[in-house]
Amino acid sequence: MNAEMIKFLAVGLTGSIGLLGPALGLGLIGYATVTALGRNPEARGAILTNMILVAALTEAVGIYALIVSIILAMVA
Amino acid sequence: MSRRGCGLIGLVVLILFIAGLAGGAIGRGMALPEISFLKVPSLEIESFFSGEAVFLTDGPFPITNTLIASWVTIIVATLFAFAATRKMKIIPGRLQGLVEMAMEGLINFIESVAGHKNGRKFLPIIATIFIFVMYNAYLALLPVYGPGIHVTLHDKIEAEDAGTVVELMVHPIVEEEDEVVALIETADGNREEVEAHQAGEIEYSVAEGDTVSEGQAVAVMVGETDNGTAIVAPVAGTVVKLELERRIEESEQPIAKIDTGTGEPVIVSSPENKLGELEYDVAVGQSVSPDDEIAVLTSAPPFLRSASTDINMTLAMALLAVLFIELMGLTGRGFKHYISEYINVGELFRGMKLFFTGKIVDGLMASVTGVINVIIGGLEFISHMTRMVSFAFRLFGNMTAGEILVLSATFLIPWIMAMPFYGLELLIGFIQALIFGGLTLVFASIAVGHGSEEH
Repeated sequence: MNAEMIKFLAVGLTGSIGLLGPALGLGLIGYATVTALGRNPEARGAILTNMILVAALTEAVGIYALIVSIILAMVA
Repeated sequence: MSRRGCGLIGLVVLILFIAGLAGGAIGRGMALPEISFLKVPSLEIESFFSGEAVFLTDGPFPITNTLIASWVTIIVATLFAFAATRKMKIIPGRLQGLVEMAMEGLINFIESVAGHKNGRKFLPIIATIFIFVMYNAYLALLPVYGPGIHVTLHDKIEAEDAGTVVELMVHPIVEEEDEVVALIETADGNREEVEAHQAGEIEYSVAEGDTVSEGQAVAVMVGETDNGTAIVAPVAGTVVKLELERRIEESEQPIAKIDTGTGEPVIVSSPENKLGELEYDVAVGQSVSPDDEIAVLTSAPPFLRSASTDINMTLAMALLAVLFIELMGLTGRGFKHYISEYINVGELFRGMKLFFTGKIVDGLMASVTGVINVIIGGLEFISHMTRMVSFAFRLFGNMTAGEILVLSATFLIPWIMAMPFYGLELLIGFIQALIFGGLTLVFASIAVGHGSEEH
C-alpha cells in the first residue's frame, strides 16, 4: 500500500462518507415535506419554499465534502 | 410541430449523441479511430480557488478574469434595469412587467420573513445580493465564458521532416531593461546572469549547453535605437538556460526552420487559430526526425470566467453579508443588548454579589450559571463568525461543482450530454441566489429581534 493508493482511498472515502449525511438529510426533508403536504395541502407554497431552502442548506454540506475530495485528488 | 419535424430533430440529436460518444473520452478509451475535429481538451486544474490574472499580471493588483466577469455582471444588470424602467407606464409593457413581477416577488418574500418595517429596510441589500448572484450564475452559462476550471490546451508542434534545426523563429521580446536573457554556469559552479540593456527583441546566437568564453556574444539585440547590438557573456562557462517562454500573437506564425540538407529549409508553423505561450523542446543545431516534438503551445487563460467560482468574490460577499447582519443587530437592539449577546457577565456578577453578601449556596448556583453564560456568549461569537466561511464556501462550492459537472459531461460525451446539466445549472443558480439572500435575511431578522414587530 503506497502513498498514491492511500491518497485515492482518502479521496473516495471523503466523498462517500461526506455525502452519506446530506443524503440521509435530504431523504428526511423529502419525507417531512410529503407528510406536511398530506396534512395541509393548502400550505403548499410556504412548505415548498422552506423545503428548497433547507434542502440547499443540507446539500451545501455535501458540497464541502466534494471540495475537500477534489482538493485531495488534484492538489495534495 | 409536425410528426416528421419531431422525428428529424430526434434523428439529429441521436446522430450528435453517437458522434459525441465516439469522439469523446469514452470513444477514445475504446480506441476508436480518432476524429480530428472532435478533439477533447485534457482536464487539468491550474487554479482552483481563484481566477487567472489577465491584465497587470505582475502588479500588486492583478486583474483576473473572474473580476472582469463580475464587472460585466454589474454592467449587464444595470443596463437591464435601465432598459426596463426607462419609459415607465401605468400599464406596463413586457419588459417592465417582468421586472415588476420579479421585484414584487422579492418584496413579498422579504416582507414575509422580516415583516413590513424591517423588510423595507433590508430590501436594498438582500435584493442586491440576490440579483448579483443570479446574474453571475446565469451569465456564466454563456459560451463566451471560459470553464470555471481552467482547461489548459497543450498543443504539441511536431517537426514535419528530419533534419537539423537552423533557426528558432519567434524571438523573445524583452519588455524591460535589465531583464535576464540567459544564465551561464562557470567552471567552478557559479551562475551568472546575462541582462539586456534595453527593451526590444533579442535573437540568440548560442543554444543551451554551448560553451562560451568571456566577452562572447550570446544574443543580438534588435531594439528601436540600436539595431544589432550584441549582448555578451560576462564570464566563460556553459549556457544552462535561455529564457525560452514566449508568446504567440498570431496563428500560423512560423516557429522554426529545419534544414533537411536537400535544398529549401522546411518551416514549421503554429497551429491555426491558436495563441498562447510557446516553449521550445529543441535548440538550434539539434537534429530532429519527422514527428519529433519541437515545441509545446500552452493556451492562454479564458478572458471571462464565472465570478462565483473565485473564492475572493464569494468571501467578499460573505463579509458584506455578515457585516450587514451585525450592523442591523447593533442598530436594531441598541449597543447594550447587542454586546450582552457576546459578553454575558450579568449573571456572573449577580452570583458574586450574592456570594459575598453571605448567601453562599444561592451565590454559587448563580455563579455557575454565569460561567456557562460567558461560555455561551463566546460560542455565539464563533457561530456568527463561521457564518462567513459557510456563506463563502457554499456559493463557491455549488458554482464550482456545477462547472465541473458540465465540464465532465462535455469531456465524456461532447455536445448532447451537457444539455441537461445546463438546465440543472439554471435551477441551481436561482436556488443559490435565494439561499444567499434568504439566509442573510433570516439572520438579519433574528439579529434585529421580533420585539417591535406587528405580528
